[in-house]
Amino acid sequence: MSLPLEDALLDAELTERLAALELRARVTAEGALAGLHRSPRRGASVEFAEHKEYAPGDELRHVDWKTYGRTDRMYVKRFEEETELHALIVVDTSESMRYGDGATDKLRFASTLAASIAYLLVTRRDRAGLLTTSGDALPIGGRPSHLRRIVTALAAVTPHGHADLPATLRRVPQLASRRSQIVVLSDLLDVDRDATIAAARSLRAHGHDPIFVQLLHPDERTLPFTETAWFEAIEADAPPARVLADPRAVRRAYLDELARLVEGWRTQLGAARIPFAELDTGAPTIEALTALLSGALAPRRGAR
Amino acid sequence: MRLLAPLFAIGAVLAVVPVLIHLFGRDRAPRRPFPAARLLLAAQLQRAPRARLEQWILVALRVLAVAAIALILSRPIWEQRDAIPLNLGVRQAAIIVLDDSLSMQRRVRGKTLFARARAEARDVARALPDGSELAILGTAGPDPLARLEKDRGTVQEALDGATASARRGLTTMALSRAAALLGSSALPVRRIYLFSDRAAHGFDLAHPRPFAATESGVGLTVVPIGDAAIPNDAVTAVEVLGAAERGARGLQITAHVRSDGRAAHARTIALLVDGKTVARGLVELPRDGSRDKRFEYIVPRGEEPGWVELALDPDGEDALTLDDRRAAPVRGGGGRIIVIDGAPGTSRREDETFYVETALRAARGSGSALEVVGEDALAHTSLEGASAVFLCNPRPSPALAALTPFVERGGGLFVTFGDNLDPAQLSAQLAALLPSTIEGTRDLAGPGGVAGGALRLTRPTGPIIELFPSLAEDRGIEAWRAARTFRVALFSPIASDELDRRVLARFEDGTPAVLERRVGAGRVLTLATTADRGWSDLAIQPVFPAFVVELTELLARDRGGALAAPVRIGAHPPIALPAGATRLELVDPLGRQTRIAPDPKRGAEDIPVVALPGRHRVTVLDGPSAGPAPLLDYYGEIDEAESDPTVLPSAAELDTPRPSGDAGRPPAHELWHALAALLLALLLGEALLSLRG
Repeated sequence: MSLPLEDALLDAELTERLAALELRARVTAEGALAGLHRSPRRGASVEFAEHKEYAPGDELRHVDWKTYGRTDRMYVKRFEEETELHALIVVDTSESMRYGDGATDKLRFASTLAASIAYLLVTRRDRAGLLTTSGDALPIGGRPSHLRRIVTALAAVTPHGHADLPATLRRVPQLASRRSQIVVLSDLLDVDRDATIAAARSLRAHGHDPIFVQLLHPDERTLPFTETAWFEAIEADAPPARVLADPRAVRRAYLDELARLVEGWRTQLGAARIPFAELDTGAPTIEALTALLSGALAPRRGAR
Repeated sequence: MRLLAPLFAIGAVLAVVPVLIHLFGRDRAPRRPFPAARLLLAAQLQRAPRARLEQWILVALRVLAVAAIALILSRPIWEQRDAIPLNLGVRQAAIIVLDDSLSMQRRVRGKTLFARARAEARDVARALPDGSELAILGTAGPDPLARLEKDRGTVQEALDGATASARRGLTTMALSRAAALLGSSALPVRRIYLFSDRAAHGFDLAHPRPFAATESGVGLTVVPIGDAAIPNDAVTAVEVLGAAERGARGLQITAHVRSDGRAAHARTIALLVDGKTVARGLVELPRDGSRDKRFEYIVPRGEEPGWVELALDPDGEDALTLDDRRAAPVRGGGGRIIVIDGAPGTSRREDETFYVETALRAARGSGSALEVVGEDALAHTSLEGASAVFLCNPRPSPALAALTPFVERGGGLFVTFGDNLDPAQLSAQLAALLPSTIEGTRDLAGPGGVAGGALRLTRPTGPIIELFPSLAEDRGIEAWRAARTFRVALFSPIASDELDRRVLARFEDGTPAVLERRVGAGRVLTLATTADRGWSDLAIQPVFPAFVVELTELLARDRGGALAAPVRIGAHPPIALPAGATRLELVDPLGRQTRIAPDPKRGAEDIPVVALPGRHRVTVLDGPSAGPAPLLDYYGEIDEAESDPTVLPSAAELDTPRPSGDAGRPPAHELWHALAALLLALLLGEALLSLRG
């Protein structure tokens, strides 16, 4: 199935490759619709899961009479129900996301990634919504027109101010009434980590499934500069930071600081059983999405 | 180290550029927006101390690299000046000429130049192969410290015992003696090793090396000792004049002080009169220049100062303290002088008294000790306390008998003649005092008193120069010989073996002009003509004032404890044995006593030379008076030339080519290779530090 997506954010190649991807939710979502995604709820759906010895209270319609005939013992058939996935994509649109040229621009990369995920969901008959840290919000929906609105909104978004990620996450319940995956796309720089993780824990307590994806530009990941310069923080709302540094001399210490930051997120989110992934905005979007689907977004049987 | 292209060294100032860039370049650094600036800031803060250190190390490496480039371009070479670049492996006859003059006593970093020279000389003596002959000569004295011989132990011992003197160095003369000494050696290689500060005053600047290497076969190697700029202040001259504006007893004392090798500064200088400090003052000394410091002193009544001394207060930077003080006699001082005028003239300028008094005033300014009496008044005049009596144009008189006991007790008498002369009677009355009998007069004046001819004095030589130093100077000799004498008193001949009398000066025709006789403890000098313009014009010659002053001092000596003129270190003191005395005791400034019995015929030559600066005392042990009696004090004076730091421009002027083989010039190493390696290392370090992280 293909949708008439004309937005430049989704080029033909990307569309084709996305079609080949198998989006598997990390956990089976609750829902009534059958789909590609597995539901933890056993029932009378189409796909057989396992046999279970009959016990009082089991529904008699699920007794496998053929097996009873062969073995003279009563077994009950159990099925995995297929359901549709609800996902809300949260995009960091703060000033710090405005960094990089062309495809490596962090915000553009985040927008492309968000649109790809939305497209993947909608084309698989799942549902997607959008929420940005600058306040733009589209509720979860599954129609192609809804996907167009998401893409349009992403194309129109501009970097602005400081990312208040905890406040943004607190708005999630207003947009996702059912259990949903909350995909957070942010550089996680200059973010209040404790408050953000607390908000994520709260979402999880409400049955949502938050996932954090950190997007870092190659410059941020390697500090490749050679010339001594005044390095200035970008986010105007944040306390001003300005430092004269010789990148060659300070590189090792900087990378240590960066590693500490990333590891801090990974450790604290892991403690809350919240998946975390980091992506390099210098990599092609499709590779990043593939890595994401096989990593943080990969389904884990029996996770719930 | 020497630079072959020193102009390039100016480029070293560019070494400051990296520092300037480091200090001022930070403001010009570009701005770079960066989302993770806060992480960078944290990283920067974390390694700030180390980063600062690394930055300054980087700057230092860059500074050194720029300086190294400038140095490489200026082509530095290092010459082994201090090493002994000699052909010491060859068996040879060697003379070590060790500069032991006063200037070698200058102290640099706690060690005298002489000690350094001696240490270097020891190395040479040790390094010579067996079979070599070795001698040691000093520059300040004629006698070798060690004679030419093969016994190394004796020579080493002499070296160990060698000390610097306070004398003036005569380096060229020492080299000449060394070359002559080497002539006696049969060894084919003969060489002189000179260890010296190369003070210019030690050399005959026209021919600093007194022999030609090619003709004499003698090589010369100079081992320079010490630097040219050694800090030293010195009092190089003291002048004592009368200060007429301060009254008859006023003295004006001027010290000439020079400073070399140090920045402009002030020194305190003290004025001592007869050993007592009477005044102090500051003298502002310029860099490498000199200043005069003047004191005025009014002699208290009842005192007759013998000598004054100017002494700089101690100063830690001064490399030589021996030249910090200098003394001078108060000329004509030391006693009362009585002039007995046999024929007082109606016109003052026609009287001997006028010329004597004028001469003394010119030298000292004070005539208060000069007492003029007529011959008739002599019987009523006490000669006690007088140091000298001038008897001018005497008439025969019984009163003259009073002079004999005066002289016998140590008084000095100077006799001149004039128109009053009655040869027979005067000879009889002064028989105990005159050197010989007056036989008459010789008159060269023409008819009517018009000068038809004149006698000239011969060039002063021998004993008169010792007694009258002014007659040893060119101007003194010229003036002495210019004097014309028209009439003289004629004395009977004096035998050459007479011990107590002698002729000190003669006229060109052989007629005695100045005669001396020792009488008892005193002395009589006789001028065979007038002390005014009556018979001779000697009294108006420029040398006459100095002659009178020195005569006064000479006559005063025998009174005991009188002060002679300063005597240069290394010279014989002007001591004459009183009649009947044979033994003297000399006490040097350190209080060391030496007893001698000089040969009267050898005169002053038999007296040891003056070795130390300061006051020396001479006592007669067996004179006419009972028991020891003071004879003379004199002041040992260092040669001011030793305070002159001028050196020969280059040791190369003296050096002679050395034999081939292990000889040759001092090794010279080009340093640019090492500097280039250093530069590479610096650049490598800079690159590594820059690329860190």
